[in-house]
Amino acid sequence: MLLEIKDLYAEIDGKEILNGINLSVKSGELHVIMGPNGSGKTTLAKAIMGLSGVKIRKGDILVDGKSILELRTDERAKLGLFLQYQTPVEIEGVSFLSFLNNAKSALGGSDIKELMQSVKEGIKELAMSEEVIKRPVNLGFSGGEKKKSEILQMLVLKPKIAILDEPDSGLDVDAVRIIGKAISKSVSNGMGCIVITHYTRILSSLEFKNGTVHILSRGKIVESGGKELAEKIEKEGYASFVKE
Amino acid sequence: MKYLDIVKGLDKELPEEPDLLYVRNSVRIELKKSARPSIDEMQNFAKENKLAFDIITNGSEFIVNEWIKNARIEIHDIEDELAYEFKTRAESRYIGFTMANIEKLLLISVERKNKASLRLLMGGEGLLVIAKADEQAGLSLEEFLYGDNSIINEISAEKGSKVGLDIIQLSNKRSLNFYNAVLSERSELNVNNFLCNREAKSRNKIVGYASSKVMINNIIIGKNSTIDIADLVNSKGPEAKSFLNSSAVGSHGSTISMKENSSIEKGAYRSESVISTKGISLDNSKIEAIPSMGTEENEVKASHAAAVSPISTEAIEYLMSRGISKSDSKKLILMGMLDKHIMRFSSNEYLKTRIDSMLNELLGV
Repeated sequence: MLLEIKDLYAEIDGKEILNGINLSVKSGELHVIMGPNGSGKTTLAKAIMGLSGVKIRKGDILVDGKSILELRTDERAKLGLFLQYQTPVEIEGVSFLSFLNNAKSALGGSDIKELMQSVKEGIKELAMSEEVIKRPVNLGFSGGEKKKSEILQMLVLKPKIAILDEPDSGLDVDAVRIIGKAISKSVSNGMGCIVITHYTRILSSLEFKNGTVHILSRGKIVESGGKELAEKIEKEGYASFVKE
Repeated sequence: MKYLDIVKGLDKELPEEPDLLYVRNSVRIELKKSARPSIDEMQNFAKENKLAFDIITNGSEFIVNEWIKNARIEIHDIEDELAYEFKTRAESRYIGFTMANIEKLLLISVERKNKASLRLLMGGEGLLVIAKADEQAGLSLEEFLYGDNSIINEISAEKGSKVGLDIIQLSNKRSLNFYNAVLSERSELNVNNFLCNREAKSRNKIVGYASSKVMINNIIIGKNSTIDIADLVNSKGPEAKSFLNSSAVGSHGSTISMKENSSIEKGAYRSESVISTKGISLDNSKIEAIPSMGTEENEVKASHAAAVSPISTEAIEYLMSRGISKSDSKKLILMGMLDKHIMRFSSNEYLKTRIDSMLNELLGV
């Protein structure tokens, strides 16, 4: 699968947020997007999934050469796109397992035994409690449980390209390591991945063979490079990348 | 208008407003004439839906299963004299005024320490059900209400008894259904009420004495409906508990009103009362949730919550981001709100299937 973002301009409530983004993500590739607060990272993630509030003003988003701008969010998910929410939504009364079953069915898999197997494997891999699947979606989850539950969904639903919006924020070092390992495993199994983050610590948990770090500033990718770019930011901050 | 007073010694002047039902211990109920379904039609419904009933009545005729265990069933033509006579037999515990056009009285009683479960298919109008559980007895009543209906339940739970009352509306026709209950010391009442009518009114009052417990669970689904429900729990003794939960879904310009009232009287110390009311409007439907609490005692626990909103677009989008279609996402959210209420009904599988198909129709799934 190939996801292409071409010269993308987008606004929220009339305010220009994305100013000509260009990015290509293939299956099995890892792209890390870093940038100061308000640079447009989450808006980019929302634009890819077609969430409300983001208005595309110019440019295109393509999957395997076809524009997806006219597709609804569920249709984009059916193509194989997945968004890990920075703040997952709580849904009262819907058990996590029932939600996963509905999602898996919608994406074309309906074998409950297979689902249970992959849920159990995911729970083990992420060192989660099995109780989580009986609880309503994200309701009463701790910050860490919410992040892990999003990654669990990624492991179970097996998207072709995942956009992970701050999978590491609010997690302790052990949890970051566990999540990093799970993401790396999915990438090595062929999943394309965009990781949006503020910190370099998740990078040390990610296998970075096919990795690229992009710096987003004022709605535009201003520099791309290897892991060393992230290390530079860690030492010097974003000042040298922020263009007037 | 002519009223029957089946409460001994209570001789109050009734208020003029037809909807003002509660004046302390009195209840005024206005019934309208409606079409009476035929017993054959009702039997066919039972057959088609593979539901077995112990009693089928259209308010005039009755079919009673002769194998009913542990419950005494009596059917009476109701006349003023009989109603007055009845009050003595029923130990004068009933709290209602009922209009004179009540024609039939169905009396269900369970003797001390016995347990009985009855499923009733009822329609038409002018039916008064008086159900009584003796000390430490158990009575479970499931009432499936057919077609246009106007039915009154008077429930008496004696010391240490447990009574369950499930009311399930089967059509979108007009309904006036009311229940009044008196809970003696340490008795328990669980009421589950499902309304989906084009026009429905439900006015209910429960009086709970020491250490009694009442749980009311209402589900309302409106499609171009006018539904008005009001519950009042009056805690009169110490350590009485009441839990009132209502959830409503409104669509196609419905107007739904839920008034949940709890009153803890002086002397009902260490009592507890919780009211929770939720509503989701799918369009321009109006849903009104009015919880009300009053307490004359200091040492009590009382809380209420009410929330009415459109269906959350954020939640819909979250589910859609996992591949679930918009209409399926809405249904999942609505079922999430209703499921815990549905599970409390004895015939929860039947009700779940029914609500599932109703939501499919509302959402165009």
